[in-house]
Amino acid sequence: MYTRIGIRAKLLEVLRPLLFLSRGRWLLFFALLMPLPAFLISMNIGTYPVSGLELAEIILSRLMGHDLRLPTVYDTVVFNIRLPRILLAMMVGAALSISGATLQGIFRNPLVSPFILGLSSGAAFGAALAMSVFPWMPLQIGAFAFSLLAVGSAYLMARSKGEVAVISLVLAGVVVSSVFGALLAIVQFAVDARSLQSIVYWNMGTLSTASWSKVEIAAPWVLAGCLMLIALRWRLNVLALGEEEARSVGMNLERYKFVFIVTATLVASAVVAVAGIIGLVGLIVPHMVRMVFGPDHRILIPLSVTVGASFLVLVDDVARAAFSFEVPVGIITTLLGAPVFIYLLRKTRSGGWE
Amino acid sequence: MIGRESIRIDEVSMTYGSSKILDSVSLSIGKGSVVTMVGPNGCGKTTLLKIINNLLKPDKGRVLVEGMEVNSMPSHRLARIMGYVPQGHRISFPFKVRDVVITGRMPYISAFSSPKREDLERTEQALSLVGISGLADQPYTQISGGERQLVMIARAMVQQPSVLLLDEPTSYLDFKNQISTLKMIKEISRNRGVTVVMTLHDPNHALMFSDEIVLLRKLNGSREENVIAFGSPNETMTPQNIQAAYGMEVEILDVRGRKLLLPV
Repeated sequence: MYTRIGIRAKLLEVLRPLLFLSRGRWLLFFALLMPLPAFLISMNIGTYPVSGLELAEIILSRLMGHDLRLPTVYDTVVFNIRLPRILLAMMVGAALSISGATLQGIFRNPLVSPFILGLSSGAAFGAALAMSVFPWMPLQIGAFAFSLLAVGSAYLMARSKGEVAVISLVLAGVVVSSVFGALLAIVQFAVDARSLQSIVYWNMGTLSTASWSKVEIAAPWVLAGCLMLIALRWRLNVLALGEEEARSVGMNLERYKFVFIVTATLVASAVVAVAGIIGLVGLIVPHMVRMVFGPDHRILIPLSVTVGASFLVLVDDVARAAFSFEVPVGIITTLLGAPVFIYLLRKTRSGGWE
Repeated sequence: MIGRESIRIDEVSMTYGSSKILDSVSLSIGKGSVVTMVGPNGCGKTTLLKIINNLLKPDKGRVLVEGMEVNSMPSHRLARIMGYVPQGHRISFPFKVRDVVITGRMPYISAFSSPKREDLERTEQALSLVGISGLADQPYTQISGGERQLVMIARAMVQQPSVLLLDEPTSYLDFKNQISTLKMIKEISRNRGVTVVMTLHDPNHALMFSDEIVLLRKLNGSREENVIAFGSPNETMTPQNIQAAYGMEVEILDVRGRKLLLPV
């Protein structure tokens, strides 16, 4: 039984940590909650801007089944176009960022991207096959399957005597990328002009074809993978110190490397399958988070999700609304990411490889 | 102070490619002692250290620690018994010193969790044990080589080991820090009963800080054994043994009751 004053005291006790947060804590909160304002801003951008209140009204009218005071076109725009696109953008951003951050930890190199093991080349080839040679194969399945095949073969190529050396993985990734690049070229060379056009367009990475079904395809993988990586995040600190160092404190190194590579790959493959190749997000976002919050994976991994989601949805706003025509978002992220890459390269001297 | 057996090395052999590094080496190391392995480059002292810690698997032979074979023990169990300080450690990400040290708690933390309050407390204790509490919030990439060495010792100590292995703990240190680090290692051993096995380049350091010395030679396809001598510093570091290990002549000086090796 609390008295009035007792309740107030209790309330203050709960709120105190919030009220007296240090600057770093405020930033942390901001970064964790960033997807919310990013979502609301993105809802408001487009031919039919939807404010937060209107959004609530539209969603409520659907839920309650009562009539909407706004024109019905708003309902269509929100549910059929904007929501799936925003959710997809957030998912893709989160997935590529967490995947990049994880692989950077394993490779102990901030320049590594989720595509280092040939994931994107495999996906591009799989998608091209589905678009031209095997029209019965769903595009997403083709891209997903071949991206896993590419990473899997790089992993197996690098494996010897039960161990997978990081440098062998990188080189295997280079070879696998080139092989699938060549296979893609064969397909592109052989198909007609229209298929070629769609293959090239897919490769640029775009969210303009977002739909609920794409969200549904990618969501379970992304969700499960992110939860797994968040749960294991501290182990990335142990791994990032070096392999011998990790083993000497009792880490089952090869098992954890396997788990991290598989999870990071599944997460990234799932979103590449639905959105094409959106480059350098997995490099830019972890870098931004590290600049502000440091390299500790206990913070870096969860923030990669929230900052990655916010980042890509905002960049996609630019892609769809800044010009009179829509620009594939992958082009913008790559152009934004290149300077970040160059900066990191200059800063780490040898590129981080010892 | 030096009691029953802590580490037993049983006829360990190791070959890299075509060159034999270790040939049937057997040693018994007493609990709580400070044992130094000394010998020329390529004599296999680092290899032996890594075999003791199960970082390398020997071709033949086995290593027992506290009666258990190291390569059949679950890795986290081994890591609760043995701490390892690598030589000249570098990392790519600017982790805080505290975050580096706390990774030594790995064997006590279950798969899906992160360090708890107790782990943090032990980390602070280890930092103060090696005298670097002031560096806790510094980025590991921006401290000196000597300080990094101390960080890695602290990291090994939060494992709460009964055996501490160190690979060339003095290699990146200046004259003064070499001595102070070795003093500290010896103190840790004395105060906590920790068995220390380390490799050192300088035979004089070995003379000053060891309870026992293992003097090794490089195998040259001959039938000689790896271990030239194993025993107290005075017994092992004789001019004849040094000649056998390094192929150089030294003179033994007695200075203020202490022995010193002087190259001739």
